[in-house]
Amino acid sequence: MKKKGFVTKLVVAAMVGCLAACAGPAASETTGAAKNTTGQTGTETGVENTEGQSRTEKIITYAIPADIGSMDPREATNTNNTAVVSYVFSALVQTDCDYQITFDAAESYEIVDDSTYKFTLKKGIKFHDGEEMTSEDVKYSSDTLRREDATYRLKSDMSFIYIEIIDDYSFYLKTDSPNKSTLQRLSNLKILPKHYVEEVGDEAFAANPIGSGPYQYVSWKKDAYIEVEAFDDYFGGRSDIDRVVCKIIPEASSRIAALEAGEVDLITAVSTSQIDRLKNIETIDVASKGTTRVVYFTMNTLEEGSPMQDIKVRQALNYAVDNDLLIRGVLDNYASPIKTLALNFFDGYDDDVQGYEYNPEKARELLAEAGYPDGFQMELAGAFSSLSNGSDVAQAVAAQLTEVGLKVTVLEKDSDSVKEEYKAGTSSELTMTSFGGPNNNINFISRTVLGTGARYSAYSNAQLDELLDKVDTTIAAEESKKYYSELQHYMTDYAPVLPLYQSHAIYAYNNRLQNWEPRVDEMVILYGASVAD
Amino acid sequence: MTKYIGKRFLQSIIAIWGITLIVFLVLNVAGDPITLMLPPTASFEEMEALRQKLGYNDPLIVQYWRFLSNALRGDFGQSYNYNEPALSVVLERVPATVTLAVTAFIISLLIGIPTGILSAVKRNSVLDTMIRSFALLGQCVPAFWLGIMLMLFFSVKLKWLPTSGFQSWNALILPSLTLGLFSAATITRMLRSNMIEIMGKEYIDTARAKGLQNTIVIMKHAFKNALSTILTVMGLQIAGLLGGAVITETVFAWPGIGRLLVQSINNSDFMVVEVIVIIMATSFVVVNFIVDILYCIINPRIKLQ
Repeated sequence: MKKKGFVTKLVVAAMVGCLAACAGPAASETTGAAKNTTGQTGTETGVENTEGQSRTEKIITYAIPADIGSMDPREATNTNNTAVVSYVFSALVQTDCDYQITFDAAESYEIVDDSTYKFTLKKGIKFHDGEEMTSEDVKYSSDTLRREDATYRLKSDMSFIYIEIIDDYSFYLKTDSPNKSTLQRLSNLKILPKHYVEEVGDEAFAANPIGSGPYQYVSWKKDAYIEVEAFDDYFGGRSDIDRVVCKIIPEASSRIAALEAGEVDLITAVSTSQIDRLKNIETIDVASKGTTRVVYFTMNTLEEGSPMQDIKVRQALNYAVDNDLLIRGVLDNYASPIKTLALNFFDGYDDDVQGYEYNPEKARELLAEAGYPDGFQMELAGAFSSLSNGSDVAQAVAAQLTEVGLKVTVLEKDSDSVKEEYKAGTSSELTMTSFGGPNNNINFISRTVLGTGARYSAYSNAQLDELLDKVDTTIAAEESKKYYSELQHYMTDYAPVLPLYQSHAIYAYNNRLQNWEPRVDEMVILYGASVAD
Repeated sequence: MTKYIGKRFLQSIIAIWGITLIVFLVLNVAGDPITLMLPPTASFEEMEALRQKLGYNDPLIVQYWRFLSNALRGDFGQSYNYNEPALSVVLERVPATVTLAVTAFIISLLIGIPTGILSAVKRNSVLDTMIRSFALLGQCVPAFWLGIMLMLFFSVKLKWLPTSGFQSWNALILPSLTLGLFSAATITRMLRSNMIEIMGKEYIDTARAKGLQNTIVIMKHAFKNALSTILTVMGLQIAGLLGGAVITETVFAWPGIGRLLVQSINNSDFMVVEVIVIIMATSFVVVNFIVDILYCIINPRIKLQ
């Protein structure tokens, strides 16, 4: 048996050796040509361009941290899913990489009244099956989300919109009541091909989606990858990239390994500790960009007798936190300071608003005036692990608060508990939280963060509620700007929250990917970029 | 014997049922699928309405009864994340996990058995010390560290193997090595200690005295007896491997049920978590059941009261 054992080991070693050899370039190219998918870059697959000359297919692979739930855009509510779906589908308007609203399928619009927009569609937009897009398709897309019995996840976000057709290329877009965030939300209303969805039904549509986006759907191997290829007749011009593969790799270190091994071309959410190392690799570039993500503390003003109910205490806490130090020391400058929760590229941003500067003496003064010369006991909580460097930031803030005399207990909670606490009004004195993604703007803040009973709110004030209502329902630009301004001033004057910083996202990519600009909403949409030959 | 089998079978059924009950209770206390189903801008009223509509406000016992009666008919509810039946979402990923688990198990046997025997036979030699050191390391090194190190060396540095995923057969090597090494180490150490104990027994001396070849003494007498005592351990290893090797699957982006489990817990995808836990529990129970039966067959003297 000793001999047998030895022989067995030899056999195993030989097997491993053979299989490893199979992973060499020769075999992978054959696999590449046969399957056309591998996720390996620079695969030697021939493609015929319009002149009939063959050239290497340009494939870009990027890693996403989790699988999507569905290719049906009506089910896409998280950033990951929304981004993937945006390859295949168009909307009336979109946001560009700097969050400015641009026209996608729509050519123009005008504001008719508080609840009515008149849209004109671009002519000649083709769906991937060759059919042309008309107002009927837009109306259909909106109607399906409005149906009583519809259970699509996006329904509650979009059902306030309805369409009245004027002719093939123009229509009225109406809302049930005036809603300022309509335009921004429209980027989620993807336009479905009515003829196709009605013919094959929802299930078949999700399995083989057809849209009018820059790429058409090729395949989705669950938990492995989603693949799309350039649509030749895209109304915005065919993409320079022939094929995009979204590879699913949940573990951060595995994503980095895949980038270094050349298996993927782009990764997101790189941690600051990896930056220097990656920068030193010749084929890899690192880019960072401020995002729509704002990190801040909610202050629970809902518990009777809580010190947080006193405006002086809230202001004191704002003075006690040194945001610049957090950004420099904890986040390596991969963050930017903010004055209120509104970011400087949000529609309606008011530059005049002053935030709170770091002033620990003032903080102690205010605490004393409020009746807490020796501070008080408080909890600082949050789902720290869901934010990069979250625990470090929490500890740093706790230390700064201790400096001015407060007694702080730091508690990590899971995000579900935090949400439950907001609902019950029992959140900690300070709860760290954040918002980002493609839906963040001042209206989002007003709807979810500050109002009485709002989803993530620990603050309640009747006057503010009135203001928030105006912010949400005023459509006219000049008047709306006034209310946006008022809201930002309120955030400073009454300190309902404690803003910390704007997050930066860090990307690392193979420099064969060119002309690519990261988006502030952190979605990766590879249209407009090109591949170096 | 039949009575024994029957009794064990009944115990197995009760064990599986008990686990589904516990998981159901725990899942309902920790996490809220309604939050997953609606976008963050949905109001509390909308969430409440959906909760009411889907029956989440019914008393727990009613919900459990509904779940159990559906489960017996093969309906484990809907996956909220994928909008598909939870059972099919899980079953799609079972082959990947089974492939990984079986390969890892074979590796653990191929490494564990020869090294365990060698180590026992050549006790206290240099070889023995080396083997024991590696076995200790194998049990102490965390899977995620080992996996990433293997990935960095073989995939990034040498570019011999893919870093992750299951798009070609060579992608099986690193994850099954990572998963199998811990089991191998356990088998090595257990086999070694069992064999040393047995080889000290009188019947071994008798066999040698009879003039039997050393090889036969070791394999036919010592190893065979040692095998039965580590059978339970090997059984537990398989069940644990089948359980999804959560960490290994996450590190290597392996499309199996371990990774699905983590994802579903994060998403509060209740039904999928229930299905996976039931599968894991069932495989444990089934393997233990088989091991108990095998025990009886290999060693008729051992019949548990």
